[in-house]
Amino acid sequence: MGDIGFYAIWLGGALAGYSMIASFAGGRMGRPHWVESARNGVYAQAGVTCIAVLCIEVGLLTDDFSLNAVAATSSRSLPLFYKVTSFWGGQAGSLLFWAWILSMYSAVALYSNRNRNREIIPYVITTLSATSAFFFILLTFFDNPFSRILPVPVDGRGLNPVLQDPGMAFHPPNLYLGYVGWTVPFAFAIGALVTGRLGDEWIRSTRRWSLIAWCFLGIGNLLGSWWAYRELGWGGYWGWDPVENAAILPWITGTAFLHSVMIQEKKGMLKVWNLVLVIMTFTLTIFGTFIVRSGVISSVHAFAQSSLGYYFSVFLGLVIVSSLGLLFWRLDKLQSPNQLESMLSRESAFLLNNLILVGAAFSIWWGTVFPLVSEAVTGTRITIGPPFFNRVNVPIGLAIILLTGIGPLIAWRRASPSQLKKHFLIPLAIGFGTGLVLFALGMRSFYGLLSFSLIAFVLLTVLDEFFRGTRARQRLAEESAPVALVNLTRRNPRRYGGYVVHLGMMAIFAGITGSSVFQTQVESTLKPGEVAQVKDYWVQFGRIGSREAAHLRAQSADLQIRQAGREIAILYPERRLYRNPEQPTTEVAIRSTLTEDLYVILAGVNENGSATFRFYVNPLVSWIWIGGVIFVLGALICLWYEPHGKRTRPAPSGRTVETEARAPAGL
Amino acid sequence: MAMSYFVIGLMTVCAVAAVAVPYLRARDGSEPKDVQWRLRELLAAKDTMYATLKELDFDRVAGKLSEADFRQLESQYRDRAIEVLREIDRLKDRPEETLELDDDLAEALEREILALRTATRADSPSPDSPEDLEEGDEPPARKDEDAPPEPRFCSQCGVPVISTDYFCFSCGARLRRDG
Repeated sequence: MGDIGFYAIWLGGALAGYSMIASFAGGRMGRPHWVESARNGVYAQAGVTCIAVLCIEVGLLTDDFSLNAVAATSSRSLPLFYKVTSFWGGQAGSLLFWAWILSMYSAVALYSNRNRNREIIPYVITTLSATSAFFFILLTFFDNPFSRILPVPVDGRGLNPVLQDPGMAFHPPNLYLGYVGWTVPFAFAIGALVTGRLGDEWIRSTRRWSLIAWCFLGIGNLLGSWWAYRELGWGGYWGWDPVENAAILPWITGTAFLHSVMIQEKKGMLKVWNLVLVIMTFTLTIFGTFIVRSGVISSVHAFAQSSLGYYFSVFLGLVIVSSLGLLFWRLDKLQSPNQLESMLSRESAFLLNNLILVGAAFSIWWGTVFPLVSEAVTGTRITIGPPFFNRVNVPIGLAIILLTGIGPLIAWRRASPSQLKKHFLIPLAIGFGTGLVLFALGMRSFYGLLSFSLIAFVLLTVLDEFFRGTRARQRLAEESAPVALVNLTRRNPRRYGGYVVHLGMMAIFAGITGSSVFQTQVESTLKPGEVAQVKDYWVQFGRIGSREAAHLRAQSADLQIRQAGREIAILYPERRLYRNPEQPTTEVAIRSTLTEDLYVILAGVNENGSATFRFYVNPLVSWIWIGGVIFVLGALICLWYEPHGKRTRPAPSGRTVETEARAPAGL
Repeated sequence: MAMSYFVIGLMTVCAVAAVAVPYLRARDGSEPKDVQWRLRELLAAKDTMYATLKELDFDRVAGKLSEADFRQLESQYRDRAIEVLREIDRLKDRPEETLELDDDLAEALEREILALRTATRADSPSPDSPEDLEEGDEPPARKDEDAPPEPRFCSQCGVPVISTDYFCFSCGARLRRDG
């Protein structure tokens, strides 16, 4: 199996290199069959990469420790589920995982465009294959998962214990699907730049790709937070760690891109800006990988560090120089004949949203790389912690919430002040009212009050939007309210799916506000039988128990939780010592409700039988995960958007015929 | 071991075959023409115009756009849509360059142009004159400035339609004209 995998990677790399050159030459010299051959090369590359992945999985499942990737991340005692997922737990495996997703994405993108975009496809293939080739070079020459280890170790080094968690099993694939997904819109953008076909064709063709990549990236980030919350045991879900920042950056610029492409589609404006955003997003995905792999910035993901950072920085440089070079070369072709019709329009609200999002991305990026810059300039590394990120991003976040509320209320192209007053009055009043009620209830945090008021305002505007839309449709089509609501969404899934995403984001913002502004933290050392009070919870410590499993030893405390005199739960926070590799971890215990989470960490067990606990009460955290589900639902509704699929339409003669709609489509 | 060599050999043969086949079937002259690209761009622009008009109407009915603003923007976008349709028509009339149009593209074009011509003929005695077309497009209902917007929808597929349209955006069915 190892030999087959080893060869498959070589073959994959050769095919990527061939496709890159053949498609470029075919495009330049006008030889369609060269391009066709390059396209088949991409399909073949996807096939051989699948075989390589199959080989590594077989290696993991059969404990073939002669293979580099298996010995590095797996061990005999590892549970089966984690054996499968340890494929992407180590560096060589995750590089292969990346190459695999990219080759599959490339094949699907090229197949779905086989009869479309013929002019730009050669350069799309070149870009996709060049990116693939980079990963295959790393796989072949620098970290081959199939290189042999001699003598063959008796057991593998095992999977890092913090990665042995369901959150970690799903977080990297989602993040990778998101990261890699942005390669496709980027490749189309490069194709458009090279050919000078700079209309909105490339945007239409990649609309769904952008949405899918963006959605996966969002899910990946949320799952990462969920994992950090449950597994890292410091009471929170987001610590502004460099790697977390690197993962959220492309999502933020991607969000800006999804909004600003609508202006290009509708008005033919912002062409340069959209290209800049897609280049920026793709660059940030590579930057994210660079941050993880290079270890230049210390991070909770230190387990992934290696010397590959150097190659990533070279690739990153090449991407930035070549794509910006192309952009400058085409600058004169990118002028738009149109202008904004009014400053008071949804377009201008979108523009403002873009500026704020990119501002947020820049501040996070700057905070992330600042330690490097400071070290290079002054010789001392100045670390930037959460206070910087919070100070900068809280106001930005609030501005984004405000715009989320304002955007939908303003009509495209032009809004009149009187119309706006009519629409804003009720949501504004309710937002303001929410603030007053919370103040009366005793809330004194300025940011807390502002955030909840704005969230209430946005909720109202979105609901109002659905309400008005449904009513308008009821009038136009004489439908009952539920039917009108469904048809409304079906007719314009992108708009209404977008609103659902906004609802999800508001739930997430509410969770973030609640848990960051109103967190309660108590640390106490208890002897068996003693009781601690944490907010309105009474926690009684029973005793320390211990258990043994094949791959770990664990000590757990049992805690009886009472609230208002009633027993509500028994929690078992744990400390674990994993055997392979030998490493201690804490397993937190969480009692989660819609209003708040009681979060318990067993910080230490003392010799006299007492134990030290850290208790947190995190209000509204559940809403972050609920918001995540709503977010995915909204994104799925947006993907429902099918303007180019098969439709039944009557022929001029009145016959009903099945026709493939004619506008170019993406996926 | 033999099994490994067999799989490796098979992979190589398949990969080489995949990239070699297009060379064996190579045909000349299937290069894309600029006119096709332009047509696709125009069709995409037309779709966007239609979607924009639909959205304008919806914003008006939902009370977001004042009647006066709606009228101004609508006529602006209609003019642009007509320009686009005319250019499509012009390109279609150059047979030597459009011989290689994809089937679906050609069929779609036929329908569009038929729709445009019928619409023009129905409204104007001189279909080829742009002035007539644009004037003819001014809906009779709109002459009464204070009249409330009259909601209309397609009798075939039920989609809301712009009150001045002759054909449904969504299904292409001919719309009844009440005014």
